Amino acid sequence: MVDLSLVTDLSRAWIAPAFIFAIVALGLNLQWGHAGLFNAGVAGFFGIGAYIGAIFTTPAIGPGPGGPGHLGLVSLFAIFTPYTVLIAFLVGGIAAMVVSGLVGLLIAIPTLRLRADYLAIATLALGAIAVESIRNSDPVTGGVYGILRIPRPWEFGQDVWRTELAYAITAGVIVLLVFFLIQRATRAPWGRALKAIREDEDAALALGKNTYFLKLQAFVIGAALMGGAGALFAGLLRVAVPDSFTPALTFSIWTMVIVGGSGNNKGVIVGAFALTFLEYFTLRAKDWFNLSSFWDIRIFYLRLIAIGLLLIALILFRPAGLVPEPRKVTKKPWILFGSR
Amino acid sequence: MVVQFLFNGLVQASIVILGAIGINLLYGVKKFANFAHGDMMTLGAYFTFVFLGGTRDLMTAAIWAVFVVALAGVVQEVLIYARLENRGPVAPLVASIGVSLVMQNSLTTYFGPAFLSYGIRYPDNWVFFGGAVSTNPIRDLVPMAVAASATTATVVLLKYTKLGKAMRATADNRDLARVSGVNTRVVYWMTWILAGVLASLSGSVLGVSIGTLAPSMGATLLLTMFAAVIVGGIGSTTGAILGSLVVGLSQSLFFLVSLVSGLDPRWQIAVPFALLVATLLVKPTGLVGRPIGGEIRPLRTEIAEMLKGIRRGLF
Repeated sequence: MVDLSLVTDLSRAWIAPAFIFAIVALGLNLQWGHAGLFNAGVAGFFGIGAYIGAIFTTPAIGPGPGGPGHLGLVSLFAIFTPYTVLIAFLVGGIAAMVVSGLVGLLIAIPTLRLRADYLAIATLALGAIAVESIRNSDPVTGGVYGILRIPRPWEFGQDVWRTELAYAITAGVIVLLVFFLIQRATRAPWGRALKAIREDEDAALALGKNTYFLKLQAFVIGAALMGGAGALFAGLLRVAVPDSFTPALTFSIWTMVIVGGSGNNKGVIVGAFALTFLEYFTLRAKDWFNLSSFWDIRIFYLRLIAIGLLLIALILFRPAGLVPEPRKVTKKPWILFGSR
Repeated sequence: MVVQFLFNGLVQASIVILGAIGINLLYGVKKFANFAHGDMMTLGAYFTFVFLGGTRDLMTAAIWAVFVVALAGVVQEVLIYARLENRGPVAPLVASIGVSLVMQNSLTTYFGPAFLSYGIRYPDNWVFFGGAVSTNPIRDLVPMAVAASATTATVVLLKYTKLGKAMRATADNRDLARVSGVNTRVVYWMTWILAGVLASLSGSVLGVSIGTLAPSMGATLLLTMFAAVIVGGIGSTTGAILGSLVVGLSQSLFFLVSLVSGLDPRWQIAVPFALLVATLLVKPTGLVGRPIGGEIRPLRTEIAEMLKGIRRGLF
């Protein structure tokens, strides 16, 4: 019998979160890398998605700590037995995308017409307020206790490794899907128009592009992706608590995008895996290196210092990221002008 | 009762003012939003704590901390922001996020995540106007006095000294200022020093006012300070003062309203956000600010654009 606890551990603590953060990073890359829109409230959109997903899938539990906030919406899907959780999961994911996208639309309408840093300030505020609102709406979200015992599709009872691996694969399939859709969209005229706006908005406007509407679409689609990833994240952790969605989360997603090279969809996924491994490493370091309790508490903060230093170093020395966006140059039409 | 709440609002505003003026100065001169400003306040508060161990006197300790934070500002400018000139507003903003992560988590690593305290013994409250206002001389009046004097000094410095003139000129048009013989590099340093001094004072005063220090104490005020800056008008010192007053007073008035109407007082934190979004919707330049980064098209035009886009098919 092979020891499968490593499979469980790796998929639960590295692979699955990396795939989920890859979706968030792809969403942010669409907003920032392709359209040049600064979003400092990633954790807010992610958190909204997580809670919407959790609300749809979690059954009602009795009174007690965490009693409120379990609305039991999953019983609406009981007609689909034995696929109740799967259907609730899908509906919850879609609802998470819709709600997150709508919130994104509402914040984008007044701010997209202003300079990039207004959007940054407004989204930073939105992120903070979204999490505070979740914390304060006890009847729906369970307040500080959060939502507990969130089920997920494909559970295999005793075979924990199969449950965890199945979820990681689910997340991986979704990442592939999102990646191909975004790759397609950003190579299409739509994505090229976005890049034109990022480089020079006035020029794009002069060429007859509806720049405001294009930016709005990029922002809303990005926010929706973050929401959907949030729903997946709630299923992964099986709990949704407000403290999971801190500004530090936003900034580590930012680092993923900047490490990967903003505008480069593949690089962003690599960035997500790298940064999530850093987190996995800090979680497991105490088992591997026999840390004293002093450093055991502090290694979490050391990781954030490392992320901060990485951000500063990248901005100073490698602003295009470790894997820069490939420069596309239109080929010279050689038939007209001879060879080379 | 109303007077008491207005008074509490003034105390709240006086802490916000010191940070907001700093953010505004940096925005005006360096043209970027400093996301690490809250953590510069925390730095001030913690260094006050460190020096308190040596000097045993809060005021002396706070003054020593001012030097440290001002130095931290200049070091940031030299190491990071000076190299990011001409890179647009977003590159320094992202760098400031990195600085914020480094500062906040270094403090947490060194001092631990638990609360610290200056160990002040607060005297009994003073009562004014036949019981209408009850206030603690250290918890409430010290922040107000510090804020009032530091704000006045800053306004005088900006308005009447040669340095202030140079700073305003650089904020207006860097290239023209340089051509007229202003040493803009020194102006940048002085701006960081001024912003650092104000941030450090604000942090120490915040520690005195709430009684405890936490590594996230400044970062949680960042949102309120940004709201104050935008409501008042970005790039204008008068605006920062007005905005802080508006935000502080409406927060404490909300508290009053929530007591009367039974609304959950925890929603108080949403007040700055609501003010911020309302300002961006109605008057993005704020109460007294000027447009930054080109002309701003009216919202009506933008929404018409959006509807036109939707009519023509989504993509």
